[in-house]
Amino acid sequence: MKKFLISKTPFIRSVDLGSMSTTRMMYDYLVAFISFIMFGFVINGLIPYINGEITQVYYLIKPFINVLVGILCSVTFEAIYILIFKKVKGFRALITETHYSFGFMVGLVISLLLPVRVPLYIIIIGCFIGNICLKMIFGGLGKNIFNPALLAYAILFVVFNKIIVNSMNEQVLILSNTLNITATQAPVPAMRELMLKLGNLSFTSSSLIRQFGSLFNLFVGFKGGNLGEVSGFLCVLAYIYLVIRKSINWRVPIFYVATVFVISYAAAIINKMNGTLYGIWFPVFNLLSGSILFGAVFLATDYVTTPKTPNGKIIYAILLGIVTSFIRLLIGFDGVCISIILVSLLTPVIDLIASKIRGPIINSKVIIYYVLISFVFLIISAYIVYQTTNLSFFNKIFKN
Amino acid sequence: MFLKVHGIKLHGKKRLSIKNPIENALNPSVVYFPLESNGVLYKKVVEIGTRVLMGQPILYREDRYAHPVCSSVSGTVSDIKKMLHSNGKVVEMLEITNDFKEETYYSTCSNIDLSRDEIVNKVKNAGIVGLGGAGFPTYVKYLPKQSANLIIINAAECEPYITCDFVSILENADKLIRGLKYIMKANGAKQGVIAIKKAKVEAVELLTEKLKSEKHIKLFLLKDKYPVGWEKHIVERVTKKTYAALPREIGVIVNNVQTAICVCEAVEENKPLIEKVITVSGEGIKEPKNLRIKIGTKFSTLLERCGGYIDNLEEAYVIAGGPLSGKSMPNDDFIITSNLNNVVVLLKSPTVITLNCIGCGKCAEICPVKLTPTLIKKAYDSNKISTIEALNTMKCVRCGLCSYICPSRVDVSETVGLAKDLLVTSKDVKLDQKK
Repeated sequence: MKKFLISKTPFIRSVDLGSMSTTRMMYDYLVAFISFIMFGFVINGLIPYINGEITQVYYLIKPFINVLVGILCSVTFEAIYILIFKKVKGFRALITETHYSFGFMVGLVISLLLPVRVPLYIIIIGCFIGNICLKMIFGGLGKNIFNPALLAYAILFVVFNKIIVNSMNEQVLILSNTLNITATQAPVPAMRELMLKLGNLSFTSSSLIRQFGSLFNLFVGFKGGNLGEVSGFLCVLAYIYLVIRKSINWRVPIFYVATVFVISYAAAIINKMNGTLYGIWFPVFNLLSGSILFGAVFLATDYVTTPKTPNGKIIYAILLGIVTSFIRLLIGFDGVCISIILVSLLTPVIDLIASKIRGPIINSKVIIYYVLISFVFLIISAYIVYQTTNLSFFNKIFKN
Repeated sequence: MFLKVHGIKLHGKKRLSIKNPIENALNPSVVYFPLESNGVLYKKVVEIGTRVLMGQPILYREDRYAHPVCSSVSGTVSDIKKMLHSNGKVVEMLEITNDFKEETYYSTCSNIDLSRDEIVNKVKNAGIVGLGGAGFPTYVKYLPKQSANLIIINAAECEPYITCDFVSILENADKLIRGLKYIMKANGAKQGVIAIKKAKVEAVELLTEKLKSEKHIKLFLLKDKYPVGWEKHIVERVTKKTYAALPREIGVIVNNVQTAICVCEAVEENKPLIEKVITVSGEGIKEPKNLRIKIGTKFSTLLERCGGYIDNLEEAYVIAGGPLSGKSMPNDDFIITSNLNNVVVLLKSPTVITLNCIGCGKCAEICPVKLTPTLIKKAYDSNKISTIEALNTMKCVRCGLCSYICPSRVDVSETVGLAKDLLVTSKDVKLDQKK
């Protein structure tokens, strides 16, 4: 033998055995997203085109164009950044570096978060903000503080609010005509309108759900919304796929969705909503409208900005559910994106606490910590549920 | 509180050597004994040129864990040379040239009905150290006057490729059981347990057969997962209790299979620790084997017994120890010390791309002591000792699973080990300052 290799322990790695790698995890996301893109194409392009609601071929293939533009822009921006700021030797090294930066994720998520009919320049600006300002400047893959796609989306939403809301409404109208439903708004704005009108959450299922046909419509995805986040069914499928592939942690989506469900169910009961089981339709509607399921599976499980400890992940998910419920039930906005951004600010704190109370020995101190945390969560949730009976205070603040 | 350990099922690769019975490789021409091993100094009690017999004490450990080290061959002390220790350091070693006469320093005794102290003394004088890997002097575990409740023989052998304990059980089951009885007697323990993996069917069957007549010795079956062989885990599984530092706190003593066999030989035959069984395995070896060797043998002389490296091998890892916790050697002329159980020759893995940590948390999930390796790494990289301490880094058992599972191929366990060392040294500095 000519050469004795020196390396660090351990000498066998799961990566080398081919079972799991960062690259595979990233491409698993891509695979899961493909079904969303296809569904978005069918619901936003194909069906309206067949029904004659849209006549231009451009709008037929707009979903694909959005995604492609997003991915291409992201990768190009990152490649340019690497070319300028990192000393790479040769074209090959540039390609490898760009590939292992996984820039496509940002552009893909941004294009899926935006409505289909949004102008392309918004996606390009979003990719620039996300990839360059929020990811590469912080040091690239794994070093960013915020989820780049999410914060970029939030910035876009504020800056180009009119354009994004208008294109969303346009799309909802087209969809309503196609599917013969009366909705003129996406589910969450529709709920917000009712909240503003009534001053509390005591609306009936007929006033809210009739607009969209049925809960089943919402579950399958026959509703207006953003390109990627319309189908609850696909979200569940993607969750199962990603968990089986061990690409995401099972905890965050489950606890997040469960928290939102419990709080909105409590709100339904306290507001005496009609329907079976004291208005179980409301929490279901709450989960299926807007981007909660999409956010739970794809955004809240982002590796970089969520806690690393398993128990920290649970704390994070519950907190996320509480913040989302607060925004959703008391203010009436979708709230998923902004709550993920807000709670990811707390990630280092949650991680520190969680890793301290996570040990091989469970003693009274640890139990006290857990009890304390659950108590705080319980109090906040109870407050949110209580406030849903009288929204006048929040309405005053957020009325236009 | 009893806690489930998040182990992982590894591809054992034990098939390479598991069917091969122990082969003797007991005739090295020279043997070497380190004068310093893992920071412990040994004082030599023989001069260069003296003739020593097999089993004669040649080195002496002088600190509070005093014990002799015995020559494994008969011959002359020929030199002091700098040689490569199996821990990867080059240290001074005593060289003994074998004269192949096999004259023994010790004589077999007929009286084996010994008192407690006599057994402990015999174990001490035989220079027996833990053969599982730590190399801690065995008799020290028996010293406390207080009786132990339970003796556990650790036969888990959970790292891939290693089969030496398994074949030792098959070959020396009687000696193992007798050794366990002596250890029980030396500690006044009423109960003995042999903890073995479920998957080792043949050994389990053999031991069940042998233990039929034994009332006080039981077999305990472990899952086929890594790291079930970790001392704390075994104690927790068997006793459902936990402890802080040493199992002695809850009246338990854990010994390795080969240690127990050595104790038996020391008590019955007065034979000191001069031989042990090691596994030479891995994809880079032509004929993986279990060899009985003299302690102090150079690894390169054993290579021929195993047919050498496979043909056309350009580069490979030669690992002293298991693939998860061992050390890669810069050449194959290293000395097999008493705490080395196996040598694995692994081929180079095809992918060596290391990406940034993306914080997926898989290392935190798999950690058997529930640490968060990625956070410790972050704290170490930014040199925050207080954070390292707050993250319970001292509990790390260096199993290597965090690096194993890392999808980005980050060397997490290496960094956590460094962080632990940093913590230990910083604590020592603090103590010195106080003094």
